[in-house]
Amino acid sequence: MDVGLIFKIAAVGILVAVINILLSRSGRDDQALMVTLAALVVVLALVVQEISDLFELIRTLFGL
Amino acid sequence: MDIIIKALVVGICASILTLLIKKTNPEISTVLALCACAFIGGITVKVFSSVYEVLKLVEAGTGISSAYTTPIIKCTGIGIAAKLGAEVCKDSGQAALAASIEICGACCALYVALPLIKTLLRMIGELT
Repeated sequence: MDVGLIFKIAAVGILVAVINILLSRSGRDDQALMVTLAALVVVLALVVQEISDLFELIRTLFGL
Repeated sequence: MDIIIKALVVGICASILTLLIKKTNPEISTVLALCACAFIGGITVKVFSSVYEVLKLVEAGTGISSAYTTPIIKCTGIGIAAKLGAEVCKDSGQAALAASIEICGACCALYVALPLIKTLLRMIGELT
């Protein structure tokens, strides 16, 4: 769990933002949606492990 | 005490980056905020583990049976988790979801404190 992950996600977000604008400018809105969905899947794959670690830590520490 | 500084820096950076991405794709910005939450939560819960050991020492020293202290610790854990989840839902605009998570957290905390309430009532019964 390091700070780099947050900046990695931010980089993906900015990249997808630029790609979306390019695609929507050239009229291919459906592909822009596809790119957004793909980016969301990538980001969720990165983050879901961290969130389960957090709630696991809370669960073990407080004996829930 | 550099933990508060680290949490502050990560929080501010994450919120600025979230604003950056919010316009074009708000869902990635929500996931980014959630990841920063997980990072700061990870640090704070580690700090709490040392507080937890002192609580164990107090319990061993003064002979209070663990039946009284474990509900308190469980209630704080439930409160923290419910608050975190509810605020994330509120951030993404789902106030009804946040309210239902808060209600569920309150009920779970009450459920954990039930044995405590029973012993209290029994004690009062013995007094009269």
